[in-house]
Amino acid sequence: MKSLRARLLWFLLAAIVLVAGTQAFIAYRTVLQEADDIFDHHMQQMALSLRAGLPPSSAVGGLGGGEENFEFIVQIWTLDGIRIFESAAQAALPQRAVLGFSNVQARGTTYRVFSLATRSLVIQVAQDMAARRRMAGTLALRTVGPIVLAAPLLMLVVWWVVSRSLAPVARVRRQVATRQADDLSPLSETDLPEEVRPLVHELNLLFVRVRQAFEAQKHFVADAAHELRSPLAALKLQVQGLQRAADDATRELAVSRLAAGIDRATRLVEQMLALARQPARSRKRSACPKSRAWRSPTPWPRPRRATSTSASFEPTRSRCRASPRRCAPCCAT
Amino acid sequence: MRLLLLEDDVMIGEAVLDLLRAEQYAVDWVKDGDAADTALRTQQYDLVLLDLGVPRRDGLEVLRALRARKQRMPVLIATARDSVAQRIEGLDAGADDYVLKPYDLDELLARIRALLRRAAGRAEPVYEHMGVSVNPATREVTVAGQPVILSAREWAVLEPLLARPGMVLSRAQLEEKLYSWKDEISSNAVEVYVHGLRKKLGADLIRNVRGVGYMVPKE
Repeated sequence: MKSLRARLLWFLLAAIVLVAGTQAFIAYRTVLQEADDIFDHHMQQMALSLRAGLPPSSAVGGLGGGEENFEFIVQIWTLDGIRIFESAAQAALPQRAVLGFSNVQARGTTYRVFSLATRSLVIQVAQDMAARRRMAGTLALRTVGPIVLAAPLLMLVVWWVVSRSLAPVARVRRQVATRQADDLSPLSETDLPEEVRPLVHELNLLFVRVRQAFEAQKHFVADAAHELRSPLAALKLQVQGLQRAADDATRELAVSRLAAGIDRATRLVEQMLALARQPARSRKRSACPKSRAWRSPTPWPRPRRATSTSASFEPTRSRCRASPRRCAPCCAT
Repeated sequence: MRLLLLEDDVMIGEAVLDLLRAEQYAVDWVKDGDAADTALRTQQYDLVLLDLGVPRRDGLEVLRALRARKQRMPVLIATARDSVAQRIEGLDAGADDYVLKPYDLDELLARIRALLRRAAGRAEPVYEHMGVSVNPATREVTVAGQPVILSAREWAVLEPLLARPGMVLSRAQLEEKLYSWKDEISSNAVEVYVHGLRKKLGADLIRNVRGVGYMVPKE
């Protein structure tokens, strides 16, 4: 599963459902069991209470009239088997010789019967199991209800918290998605969680490096074009010198100068291509195209001035031009 | 006229040098800013051709020092620095013109003539003085309507004298304005050329100021 959010939600919600379900199930069963025990105890207590107050000659027949309650039936027998009391007429539960708790089938349903024997009587208290189960079920459901209601609520809360927590990531994604191709400005690092911020920070640093590389490339191209201007100017002047050559000797000289100029420009272009092919990091260390090696030596003797009053202006060592802008990408000066 | 060329590129420098000398300018070529500064302090130039990206001292520094010393000769910057900001910087530093490499030589020459014209206090490209009409672009000279042929060296002597009527130029100064790469200048070269000029243009044009030099009188 590729999505953090989906994974979080899936597992958390499944865990909640599982735990709530198990808890509800266990609670339900426990309550049912507890209800059984409570009702049994009740029956027992009732029988015990009756034991004290009944004379042996109580008439058979109930208190008469009214609705018959078949949920809870009390029958009292003498030890000889004569029914002397029953709480409901025609309840007709069979006499059971079993003392204590037992189950009896009657009237289409099961009765839980508690029989208590005194010196002269047998007291039977019976409860319709269906009714009992109904009451117990209601009780259990009421116990389980809050859990069942709370679980979806908890799931909603978890959903909301997870979504909120992962919102910064979604925000960063949107920021990057809406960018132009050449937009290398840094991403906002505010309000980002600790897990994501280092990633965004490194991304911003990468942007800085990429931007610097672009800038270096742009500078290199601009500087290369700039460096080509001088050789081209020389070529143009040399051609004009050739055009103006009046005699053969001058023409020869002009042609050879022109050829040398073209050679120099060619070498310059070759070196620049070699420089461009190098990886950016090592480009700083390689030779600047304007270094001494590029100058062609002057093969012709320099014309001398006859008068001694003028100072002699000897040619000085050529060096890379001092302009920092032009030499930044390649010169070490 | 005497020019100073500051250019560190050898091929450009030698091409410009030869071409300017062919136009009868006397050119001194220096290859770094310090040499240019020294030359400007110690020599007289009529115009400076300045490249900016030179070793030792940047061309703009040389220019600023020049103007700080109140030297007023025209300065033409010829450089590969082409951004608008750089052009503005050069002109505001005291240059009179700014030309980008690669440049056309004929255009350069025309710009040089324009600057020299203005430096002489003139505006008209073809000018006339005491009956002598001169076109510096074509080096044509006419006297009373008749064209006159001048040798290259005669022209090199005439031009600076006509540029400053009333100003006396010594023989040494006139020699500096001459250039010859073929032979040395002989000691009386100036007198010979002045003599030739007087013959062709009239004896009144160039006056000899005894002990000082020569001058063309004001009209």
